[in-house]
Amino acid sequence: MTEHINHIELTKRHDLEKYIIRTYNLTKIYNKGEPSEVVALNNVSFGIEQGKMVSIAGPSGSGKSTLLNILGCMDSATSGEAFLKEIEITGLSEGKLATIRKTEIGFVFQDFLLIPTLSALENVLLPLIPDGISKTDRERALKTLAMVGLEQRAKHKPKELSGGEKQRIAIARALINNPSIIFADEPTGNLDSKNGDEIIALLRSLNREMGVTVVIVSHDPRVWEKTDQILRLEDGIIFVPNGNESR
Amino acid sequence: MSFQTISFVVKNTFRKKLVTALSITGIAIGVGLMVTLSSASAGFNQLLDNTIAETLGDVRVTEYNKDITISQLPENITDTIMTIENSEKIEAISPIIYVQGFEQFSENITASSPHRPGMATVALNARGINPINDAQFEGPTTRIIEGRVYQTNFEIIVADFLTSDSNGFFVVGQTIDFQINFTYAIPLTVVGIFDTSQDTLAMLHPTIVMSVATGRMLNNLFLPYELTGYNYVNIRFDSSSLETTEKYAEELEALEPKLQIELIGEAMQDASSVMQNFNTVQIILTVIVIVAGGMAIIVAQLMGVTERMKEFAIMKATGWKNRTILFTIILESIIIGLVGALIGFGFGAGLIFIAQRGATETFIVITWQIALQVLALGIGFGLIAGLIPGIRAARVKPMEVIRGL
Repeated sequence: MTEHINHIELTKRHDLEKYIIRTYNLTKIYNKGEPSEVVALNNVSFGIEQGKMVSIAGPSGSGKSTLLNILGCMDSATSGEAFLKEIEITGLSEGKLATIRKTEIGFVFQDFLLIPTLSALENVLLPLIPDGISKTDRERALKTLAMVGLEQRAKHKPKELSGGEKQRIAIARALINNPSIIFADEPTGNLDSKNGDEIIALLRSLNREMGVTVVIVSHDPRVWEKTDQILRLEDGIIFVPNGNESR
Repeated sequence: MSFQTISFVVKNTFRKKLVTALSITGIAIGVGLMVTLSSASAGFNQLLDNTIAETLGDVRVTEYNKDITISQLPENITDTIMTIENSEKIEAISPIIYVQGFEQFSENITASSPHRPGMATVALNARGINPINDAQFEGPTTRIIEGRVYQTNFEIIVADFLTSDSNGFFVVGQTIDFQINFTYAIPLTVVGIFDTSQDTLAMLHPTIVMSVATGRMLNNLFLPYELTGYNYVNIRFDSSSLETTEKYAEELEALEPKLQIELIGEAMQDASSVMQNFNTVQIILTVIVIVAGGMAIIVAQLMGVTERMKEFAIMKATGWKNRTILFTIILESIIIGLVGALIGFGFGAGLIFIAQRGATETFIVITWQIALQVLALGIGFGLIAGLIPGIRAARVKPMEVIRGL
């Protein structure tokens, strides 16, 4: 059972600290004031609890990407507010958003998006390259690779890895900075069901063992089933389980 | 900037090997040609500067308003010249006969000679000179490398390059027939060869030298009038500036008979002004090289950036800042530009080496300014050409690119 909660005032709740993400009337309008105007997000208000694994479902064009863009600090909202932990991310400069992406967020994508010229280990270290990589960083990356079961593949280039392995490398890359939250955009979209299940299981185990919040955008009901909460987007309006409860 | 960033940039620069190689080749060819031209320009400028310095005190005196070929100066002209107030400043003086008719041997000179390509006739500059006067100028008679100086009439000495350019025609011991108006011939014997390797102006200096008497006799047989004196007089003043030489020249102009004075250093300066045109061509070429080289990098980088949009998207998604991405693209461009420029420098230096191999005179000089210019070009290419692709890469909207929107 879901409920339209656009007007729920989360700010009135006494347990704000348990939400890693909060949005208030978040709205995104493309080509505003033009004939081609599109309302991608329409007064979206909701919260995601820390340490949960949440899926965002919805048809194409429902605003999932836009929501992920804004929550992932890669785009700005037209109006409304979005908080990541205690930080209001709407209205921050591009430089500060980049810092948040680096320190608080990990991304996993459908196409894996590994750099073909880099080895698996180097791909995991990609977020650290601009600041330089220490021996400790390298050891941490190897440990992260071990967590996703690919320590033996550290020196392999992406073209030498299977789809499932590539996605594991991408997850390791998302974890390298110990993020608070991982956004996974259709992480099983390019995988067969067996590998897809393994990736979701891996994300679930990371969620449980490391306490990292995982937000998965997916069309796949099999993925939704394995998450704690399903947020449904339709025409820029969000529907969450009644009372914004977790399952 | 971390070492890993540079290593990452280097890997990316050479990932599209063919495109990068073609860009580098384009830049290398342009820079190579520019280096060659700049080096030639620098070499000629240096040569001219040296020559101007060497000829500051040199003056050529002819009959007033007469071409050197028909100028007639009296036999006692040197005595007249020595009457000027500053005659003690005259270091050397040599009255000379301009001997005509040697053009008939031009067919015996190799037109494709590396020394005088296409200038066979000019190469046959014949003069009648007194060895005593010639010695004051350290002229041809003082630089005999084979045979001896002429001692009697009908003997000549020739420049060393004529012996190689004339297919065995001008060699010591050879007698050549000097045709007079196609009616009869005077036999002239080559008795010596003189060195021109240190003479940067060898082309303008006599290549066939004989005694004054022989030169005068040949002219009198060849020309429809009788020459009793000399065609011209070379004078070297002890002077360190053209202004001082001009002052001495004014004294010569005041003499009787009226003389025409030509300052050799001034003529050289005129020649150096011609080099300005050459420099203009060089500047135009440099601009073309910059534009073409820049375009090569821009095209290569734009292609690369377009293909790698998803990579930039993931870099941004993982916290790379816009300026870091911009910087990596510019650095990639600088690497392409620098590698191209350095290969071009090597290519240009190679061309210069080939061009000068075996030549007796070195005209082309690679100066440190040219090397610096090449370095600046390489870096400049990268900075300018990397900017547009870099901005494009930095402005990528990660989610739009990643989701193919």
